[in-house]
Amino acid sequence: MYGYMGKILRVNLDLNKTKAENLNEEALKKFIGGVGLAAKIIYEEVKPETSPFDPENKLVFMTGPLTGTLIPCTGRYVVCAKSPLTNAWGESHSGGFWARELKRAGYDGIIIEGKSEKPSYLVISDEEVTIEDAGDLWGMDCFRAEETLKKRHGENFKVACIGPAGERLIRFASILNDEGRVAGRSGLGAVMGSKLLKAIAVKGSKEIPVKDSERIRNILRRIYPQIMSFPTTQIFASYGTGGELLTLHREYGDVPIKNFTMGKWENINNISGETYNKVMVRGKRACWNCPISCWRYVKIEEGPFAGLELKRGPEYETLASLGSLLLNDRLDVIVKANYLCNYYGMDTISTGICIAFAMECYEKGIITSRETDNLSLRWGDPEAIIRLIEAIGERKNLGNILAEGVKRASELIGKGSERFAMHVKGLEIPMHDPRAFKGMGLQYAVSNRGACHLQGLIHRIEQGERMPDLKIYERLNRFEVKDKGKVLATLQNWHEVLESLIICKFLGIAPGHIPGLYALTTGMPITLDRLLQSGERIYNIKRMFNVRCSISREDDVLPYRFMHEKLEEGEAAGQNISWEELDIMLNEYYAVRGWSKEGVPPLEKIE
Amino acid sequence: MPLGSEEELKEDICKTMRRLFDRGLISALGGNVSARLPGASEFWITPSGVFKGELEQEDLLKVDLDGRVLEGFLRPSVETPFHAMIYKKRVDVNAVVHCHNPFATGLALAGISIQPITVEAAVVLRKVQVVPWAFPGTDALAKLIGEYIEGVRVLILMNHGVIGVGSNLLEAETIVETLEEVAITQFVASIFKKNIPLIPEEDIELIKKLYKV
Repeated sequence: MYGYMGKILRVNLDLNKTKAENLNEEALKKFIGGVGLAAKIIYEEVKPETSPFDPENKLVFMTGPLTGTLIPCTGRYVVCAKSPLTNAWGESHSGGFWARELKRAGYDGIIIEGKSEKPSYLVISDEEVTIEDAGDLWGMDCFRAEETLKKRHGENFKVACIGPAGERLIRFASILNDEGRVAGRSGLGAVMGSKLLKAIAVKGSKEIPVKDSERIRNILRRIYPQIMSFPTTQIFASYGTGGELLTLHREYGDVPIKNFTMGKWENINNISGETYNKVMVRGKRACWNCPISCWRYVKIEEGPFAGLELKRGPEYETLASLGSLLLNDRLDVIVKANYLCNYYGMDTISTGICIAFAMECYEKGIITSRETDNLSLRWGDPEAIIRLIEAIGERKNLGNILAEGVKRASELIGKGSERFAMHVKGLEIPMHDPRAFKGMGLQYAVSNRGACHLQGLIHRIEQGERMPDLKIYERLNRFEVKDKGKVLATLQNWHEVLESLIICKFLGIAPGHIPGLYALTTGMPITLDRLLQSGERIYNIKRMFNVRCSISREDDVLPYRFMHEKLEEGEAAGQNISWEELDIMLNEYYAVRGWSKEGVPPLEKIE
Repeated sequence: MPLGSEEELKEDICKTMRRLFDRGLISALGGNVSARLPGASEFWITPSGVFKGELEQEDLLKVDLDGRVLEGFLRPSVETPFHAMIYKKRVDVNAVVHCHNPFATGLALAGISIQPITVEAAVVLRKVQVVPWAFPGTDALAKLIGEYIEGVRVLILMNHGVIGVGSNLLEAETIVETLEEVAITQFVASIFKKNIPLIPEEDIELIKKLYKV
């Protein structure tokens, strides 16, 4: 077997036992690996009535056949489970080095099931797998937990762990690895916490088998000029992902400001990728075998947070979620807030949305200083941002309500706050305003994990990118709804392929190159069409999981604000996504997918 | 033309690419070449996105006239649709060379048409039409080229490059190379003289008669 290691590690925390199982080769032909295989496992093994914090929920870490190979940008893993935010499909991805190490230990993935009697952590060193007592680690922040485990077991161990947020079942808790790479979305850190599993430390010594590495190397050498010429590759290499922020704001009115109520902000330049790189960034870092290096190593030189260093500084989403979304234009505050989110182990997108929600509640008088422990939740106030993050991380006062995620918080607070609770299916909205790109509205509405900007990236097509390999030739008008369903379905299928292989979607590699690289890695020839069929199957099996969790067309909606409120200024001024427009997009999308009008796929779609 | 083997065809494609690259008619990322055995309903084409100066036989892809990949690992040229269109329309064509000739493309951009300034210009190129802009790699471009390709050996693609076709690779290569030679000559002449002397009309008429242009 090439590309794959051939084993999945099953860890039963109820029984305190681990077992290496053979990879199901038949399943690989249909589900590839990575998120595809994780989806198949969860669909088959997690019952719809299982609640996210039940021991019966399973947490599946998975790599793909390309993970850790000499193909660039293959340092990522995916983690999946039933999400405590959506009570439906949950998945999250992270880069770094942990994934490669897991493969080098001989495993393509890990299935965590059951619940430990007491706090524990998993140590994997090739065939030697032990479940250890995590009594002394419980309560530790993510950075310290990783450092402690490395000191204890060896610096060459790679660690994925949760922080206090995961332990406290904060519904948007994340899983961190490699000093700040984050699987942030879907609250899977809380699922890990519910199992009383603090960390997974892994070290491997095996070679990842590749069928024809010489030929891959020869091809890669000659396709690098094109890969590195791809526009986003260049921007991310030069400025990190924040390099897109100014353009998205100035050209499209896409960057959310003040909980999606403003379309233009004169202070935006203070948090742009260009400014960030100039005043804050001290270096670039990269995941395993990545020529882009989108991470930024940052250090605050002056002010109240002087001396704070972050090896993985804020990315685009965080610059916006803890910046413009809160009317905060201070980079040092964003860095400090990002640090705190990583310290506790909380998703920065969800955290930002929850804080913006609280600030708007405060502004509207729905909550007062009585509920905020005398904290003035004024827009852009650094103290309010920092203290509220701490309150969430500690589950104190208002923080305890926000720790439930914005959907549940708004249901608890009521008084009309549901209208500006920005989420889809319970997952907080990422930092792209769908009124600037209506296809992104459809993507948010139908994405399996809830509001997700990554599984499709349709806004790139709405900006003019073409993907001839996927037969996407035409630029889509960003304010129109026609053809969005068709294009989105294709893009989603393709993204399932990327996340099953697993290869970072920041790599500017044309889809047409992928079948060859897959074949030369695994020794199994495949066509682009076949890969896309697998992508469709994977997308559908997740939807089917959601259908069994009672998700239907009623849940494929957008927050009230996007549907009823228009921005008054900026490049998306005057736009909303009306019910009628959403219906047109959904009808087209369901038809293209072959789903019923209620959004249910036929069973043969997952066979 | 004697029927060669597919292996020879692939070797010839790589040689053609190397020569065109060395002449500056194909750039590191721009340009592609295809060829088929006479009468075949599939053809071999260069890959997309791979540095053009160092192509190897195992990089090439065999595709059918609908553009489906039959053999090969890499991504087929994004211009596969227009190569396929040309083979469908022209049974006499067994090789298609698409280059980014700087002078020929530049003159077209400036609105200057290729004139009969040399015998080669008149005989080898015959008429040189300019195909209006369509986005590279699209079916729209393939369709447009399908409309222009009848009865010609060469086309200039606006804001893009040129196409030469032939019964074999050397012929198609000769066409694009001649086009560039004529374009350079015409460009040089036009710098120093407003009205460039053309081949006398009676000689052109004779050439046209002889070559049935």
